[in-house]
Amino acid sequence: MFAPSKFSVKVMKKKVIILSGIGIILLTLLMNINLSKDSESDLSFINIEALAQQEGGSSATCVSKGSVCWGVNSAGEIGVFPGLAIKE
Amino acid sequence: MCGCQMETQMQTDESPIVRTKVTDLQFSQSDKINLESLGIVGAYKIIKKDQLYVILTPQSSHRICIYNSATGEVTRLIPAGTAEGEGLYYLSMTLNGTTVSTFDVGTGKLAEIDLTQYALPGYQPVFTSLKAGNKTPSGALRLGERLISTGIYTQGRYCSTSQATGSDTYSVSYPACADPTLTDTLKSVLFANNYLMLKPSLTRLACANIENGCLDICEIQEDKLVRVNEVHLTNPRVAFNRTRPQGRGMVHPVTYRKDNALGFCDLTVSDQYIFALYSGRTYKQHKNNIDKGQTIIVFDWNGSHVRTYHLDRPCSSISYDADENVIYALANEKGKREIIQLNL
Repeated sequence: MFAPSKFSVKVMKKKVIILSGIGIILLTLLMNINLSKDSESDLSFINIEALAQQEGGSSATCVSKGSVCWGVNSAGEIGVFPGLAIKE
Repeated sequence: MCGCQMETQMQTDESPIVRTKVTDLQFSQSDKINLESLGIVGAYKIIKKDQLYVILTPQSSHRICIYNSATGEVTRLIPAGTAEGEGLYYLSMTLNGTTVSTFDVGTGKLAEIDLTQYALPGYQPVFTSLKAGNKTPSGALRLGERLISTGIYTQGRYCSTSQATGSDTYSVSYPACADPTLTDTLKSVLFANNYLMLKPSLTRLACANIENGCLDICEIQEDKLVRVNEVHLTNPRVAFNRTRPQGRGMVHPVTYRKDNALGFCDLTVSDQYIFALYSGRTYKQHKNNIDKGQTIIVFDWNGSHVRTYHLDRPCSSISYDADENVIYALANEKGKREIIQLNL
């Protein structure tokens, strides 16, 4: 009966790990490309009433002074609130 | 030309206009008005017309206070809220003749106050919505029966709306940007926040962008505008977010780096000149005092730089009085707000 040597098992494990890593990277790239396409074509701002500032999904802060912050949610709807949109 | 670079590493690149043809502008020691003693808290912008001081108090229970310096009376208008006759987010005011107007970014309505009528019992400002046709306006003023607005517009930078017919005419392109991949939507957000003023003879419009230090001057030709000149004081340090948020969150399509120099914090005009209160401050250094300036840059209506005034104290608002040839300014230092006179 064939019994793989310790060395070949190690090599196999390394290959599996490397292939899994490549797969994850490719999947992530594919998802980013799709998201970008969606966001470019679907950023149609719908006129709605002012939204309260919501947590999450943003790497920016609307600080309290100076201007108006414009935000958009996953549905492409715009919210406004007084402040200055500062990148964190 | 405007440099809408994405997170560049450019060093300070403030326009030399800020430091040429400079005059120090002194303020008159007399006639200072202490607003808190009048019960006016949180003053942010002012307009002076004859004996009246119209004061924007954007975080108070009433968004507008009008102080009559002849009688000492204070009248409060536009309660905070979203109901009929109420207002949410006001950033600036415009004077046209004897009417002060202010645009509510939250509700999309222009509120107009008749300064000859405001003190009458039961007086209410006139509110006009600019959201018809699914528009998302960011600022507006009236020119006769037309309303000129800026907003999240992809058809052109300015929209001229006829109140009689409801038709919208878009004109003038957004300033050209270094980033060729910038969509019209992102450009409109980048240039959404402005101070708008009409030349008293109603032939030209000045539009001063808050975050980018861009002054746009246009000639008004019936239902459309034609750009005369465009002045850029700094290269904005800005980042764009092209992806939608996941779930319930929101993202800001346009954000500014902490070292972005803020542009204009107010605008006032005469028939000869445009007076622009310039900040040049960064959030990194000034935090919540970013929206004040100690520099008034004067342009003519062709966009040529005339002179620069340096002030000895930070101000958040200016208002030119043509009868006196004086600029009234809202000095705002360490929380103390006073209206001062700057003699030109």
